[in-house]
Amino acid sequence: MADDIKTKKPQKTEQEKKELINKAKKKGIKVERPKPPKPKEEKNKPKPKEEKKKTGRIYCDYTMLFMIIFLLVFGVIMIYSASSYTAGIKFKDSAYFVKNQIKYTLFGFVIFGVMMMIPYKLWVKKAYIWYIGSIVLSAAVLVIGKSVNGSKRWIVVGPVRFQPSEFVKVTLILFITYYLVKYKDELYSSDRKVTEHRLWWLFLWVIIPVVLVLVANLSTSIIIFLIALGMSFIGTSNKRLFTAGALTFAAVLASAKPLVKLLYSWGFRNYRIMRLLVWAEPEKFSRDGGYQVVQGLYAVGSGGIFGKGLGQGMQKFFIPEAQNDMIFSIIVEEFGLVGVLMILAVFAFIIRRMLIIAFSVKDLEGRYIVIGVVIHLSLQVILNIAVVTGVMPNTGVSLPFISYGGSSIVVLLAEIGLVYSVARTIKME
Amino acid sequence: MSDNSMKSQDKNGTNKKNKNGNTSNPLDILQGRLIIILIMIGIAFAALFFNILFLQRKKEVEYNQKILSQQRYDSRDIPYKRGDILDRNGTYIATSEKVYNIILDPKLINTEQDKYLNASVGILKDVFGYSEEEIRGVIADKSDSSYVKYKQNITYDQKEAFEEKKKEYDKWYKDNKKDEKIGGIWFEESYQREYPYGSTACNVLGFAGNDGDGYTGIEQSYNNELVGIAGREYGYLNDESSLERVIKNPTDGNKVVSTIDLNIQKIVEKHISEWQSSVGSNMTAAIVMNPNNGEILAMATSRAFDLNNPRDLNNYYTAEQQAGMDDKAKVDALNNIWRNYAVSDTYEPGSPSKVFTVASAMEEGAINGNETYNCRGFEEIGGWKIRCANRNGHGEINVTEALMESCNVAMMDISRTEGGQNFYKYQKVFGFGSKTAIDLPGEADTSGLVHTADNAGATDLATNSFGQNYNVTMVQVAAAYSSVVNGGAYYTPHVVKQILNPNGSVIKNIEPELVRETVSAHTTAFINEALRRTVAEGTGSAAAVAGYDVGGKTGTAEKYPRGNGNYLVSFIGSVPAQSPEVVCYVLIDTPHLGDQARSAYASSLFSKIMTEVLPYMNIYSNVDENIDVSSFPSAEGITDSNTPAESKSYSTEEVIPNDGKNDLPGAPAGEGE
Repeated sequence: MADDIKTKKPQKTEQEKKELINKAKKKGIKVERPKPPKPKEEKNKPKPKEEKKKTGRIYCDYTMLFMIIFLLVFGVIMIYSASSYTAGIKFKDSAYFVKNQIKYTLFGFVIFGVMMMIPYKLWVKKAYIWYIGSIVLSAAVLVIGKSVNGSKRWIVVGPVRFQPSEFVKVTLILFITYYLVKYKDELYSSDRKVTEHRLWWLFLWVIIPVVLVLVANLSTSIIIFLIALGMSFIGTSNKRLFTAGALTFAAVLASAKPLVKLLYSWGFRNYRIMRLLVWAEPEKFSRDGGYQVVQGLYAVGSGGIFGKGLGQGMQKFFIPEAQNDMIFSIIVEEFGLVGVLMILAVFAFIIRRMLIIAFSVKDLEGRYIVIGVVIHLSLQVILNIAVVTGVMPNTGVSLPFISYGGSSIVVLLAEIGLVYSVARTIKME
Repeated sequence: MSDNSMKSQDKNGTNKKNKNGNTSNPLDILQGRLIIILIMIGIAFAALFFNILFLQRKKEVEYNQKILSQQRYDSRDIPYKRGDILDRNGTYIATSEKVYNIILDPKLINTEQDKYLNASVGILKDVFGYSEEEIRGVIADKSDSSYVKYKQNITYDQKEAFEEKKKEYDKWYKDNKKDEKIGGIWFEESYQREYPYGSTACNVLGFAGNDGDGYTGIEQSYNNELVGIAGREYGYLNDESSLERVIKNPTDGNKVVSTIDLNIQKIVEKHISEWQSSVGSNMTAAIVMNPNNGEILAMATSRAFDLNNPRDLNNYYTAEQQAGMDDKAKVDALNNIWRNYAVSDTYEPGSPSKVFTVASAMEEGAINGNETYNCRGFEEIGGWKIRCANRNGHGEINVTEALMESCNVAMMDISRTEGGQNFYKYQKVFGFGSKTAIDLPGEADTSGLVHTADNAGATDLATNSFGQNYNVTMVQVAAAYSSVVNGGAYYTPHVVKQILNPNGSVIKNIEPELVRETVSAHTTAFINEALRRTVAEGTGSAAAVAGYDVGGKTGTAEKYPRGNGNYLVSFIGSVPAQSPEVVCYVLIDTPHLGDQARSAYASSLFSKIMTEVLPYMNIYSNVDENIDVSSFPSAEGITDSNTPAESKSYSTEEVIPNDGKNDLPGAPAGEGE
């Protein structure tokens, strides 16, 4: 954090300059930016390499990259532990899921590299295009989507199939960044009416994909909504709306369990109510769809301090698709509390490194992108663990970098690529 | 963090002044609010961790129990098929038959009693004739269980009959618009081990228990090949709460091809049981083997048991005796019955070991075969008067005649000439005192039951030279004898020649394992000729098989403790005498006769067995195929001998007179002396 304090002063002046330039652009006034380094470079053509070194290396956070690779490798090992038995039966190949995951990961790193090399500003500039694209895809999946495990979440194009809802997560981060920067002045206006007017508009923009995704995928739609909420919370000076929102949210959470039980006792028996009931009283309703949750709880509860050891867990035979959303329960069963601490520590470390980038980077767009990714990542970690430990109803949130799933891995690595692209603009002195 | 927030507030203040208070600074709000979000993330992480911690502290024991208890409930093993055992001609001598267990699901039946109960109980009663009350009782008692193994070992035909009836009944219920249905009954696959030939080759085969492990015989020693990997069926509830089942198929066990020839085995067993039922003995046993590769063709003892019912004591104990046995006594009795005498029991071999004494002396050059000895009927060694079978002595006797007449005195002389050092070296070479490593379980350890050059006295050497005072097993003798008659190659005796996979393709051939060279070709030729003459003219005449050149050696060993008139008679022979293709060793322990000490009991049993086995094995009469031993340079002495064999007559049986003068000095090695 000490670095951030040091770099604060120059950042600020840079920021102010940009604001001025933006204002100027709006009014159609041409602003000549001083370009002191360029003539220098031309002069010193014979030795450009040294020049580059002098002006500062490109920032690349290898430590964070290492941590992410660690999680991916750990994920592959856990996927093997969780799925080898079932995969051996279903596909005659116990490494079936592992092989796929490795393929996805390698493809993810290609995307990561591409995202890192392309200046992020290009994405933000055309954010509305991605936004519209994601809306179209989300709508399309409801019509031409393919069902897997009972949920219509997939679009299949030839050999490729992907979940548009994962795609929505990135596009929305870009779109909100675009929006927050574009209406920065109004959002930070001291006039509450002005800010709230903008926020309501933003809410409208966000609620369209949220509703579209909600139809097939409750959890992703919640995540999208919470990303938007978190980013806009940071992007405005308004307090009232968020205070009200937070209070409502707390009230809903607190009353959810009794409310669900009350509804049940009144005779409501539909699918969603049953799902929620399972969450409220998992063991009582274990035969009504709570099977996965209860088996996951058994795994988590039986892990102990050091766990049963890699591959020694027994619950993978009972948790359906243990390699997906429930993989954390297998980690707890096999590595115990020590494993939990390790995973949480690595995620906390990654989040911290990203925040350092957010604080060090000099322009607002980069910052919002990084913060959006931080919010997305931490939300998925928190919601996944909350589901596995029975704190939240089972909605299907994957554990970043560890759970099996191509769309999730590729999108996450794309987001990390964006963060590294932002980090490239940091000049090391 | 606190530094940061303070600083940002600071800046906030200055900023507001700059901008005249109409906009707040984005950067400061951003940082301030970001910290709020960070704190929320931190709290969430901590909360989740402690949630897991408390969950474990509260429920760890309970959940672990639940995990263990459901392990059985939702998934079950699918049994593998234990590998078959075939004889050398491909006849199945042990196989696993698929049978079925009837499984009841009372829980299901009780969920809709009106629909399932009467229909299900009815069909079980109609098809299998089970008591209706009993079934109803089980369903009522175990109403919470989904898995009750009601009956075992239902055959395929019975199961098919049930399935057909079930269709018929269900159709009837449907046609008559009754809301009844057969449910909660299903069949679980299982295998039952079957031995089509009952007790045949029981000692070699052994049997497989219900636990899937083999006991005794090939079933035990090749258990790892015979077992497969159980499959598994496991069920889980999917997203829609319906039960899905996934099946992983079992891997069946490998097949084992034995070297045993079922027909030879049957011939041997027939004659053993004939002997046992007519005269009887404490133990009669025989081994037939191929001397040229160590393959055991037959191995039988009179201590047989039914492999399909191995725990049946009725053949050996009366109902009263059995009633008087406690569990331990029963286990001991069974273990005794299952014990393979030919491998696990030791005894003093007696005269057949004279073959080894002569062979080793020749190998070491201590004798060349032309020596003559003077037998006065006894010899005094170490203050003991050690007698020969012939109380009056054999008189002047050469080496060949010593074997033919089974003269103890000549053997004592030969062993003395050879010296203890060489004699005991050759005991080791012939494998006495060490295991043959036959692929059958429970081979006796005889290392403490033989003398060594270091601890053998003069009397030990003397008595050992004619096969007393040390212990051997039948396979040891058969394997050592085979090496002497086949030209000196000692092969590990074995009962399995091939391992096949479940589809019948060969995984592994068990090649004859040449352990060491025991004697040279010259010694073999000499011994084979002497043994031929033993049968043709000497003590082994009872072993003769019409039309065949049989070589062999009789044995009449006095049992320990001495002086009780108990003998172990034996005969080991090889056919054809000069280039043996089959070796047969017959042993009768304590024949149930007053006059036990007659080797002819064993010799004639050998003759009966071989009379049937030889034609079966396509070994033809080869009297005119005599190998001229004179072609071996140093064997010249035999034909040039001064005493033409034809002119002399020899005793045609090895008989020890029952005159109370047979006491041997000392006790067998390993017995307390």
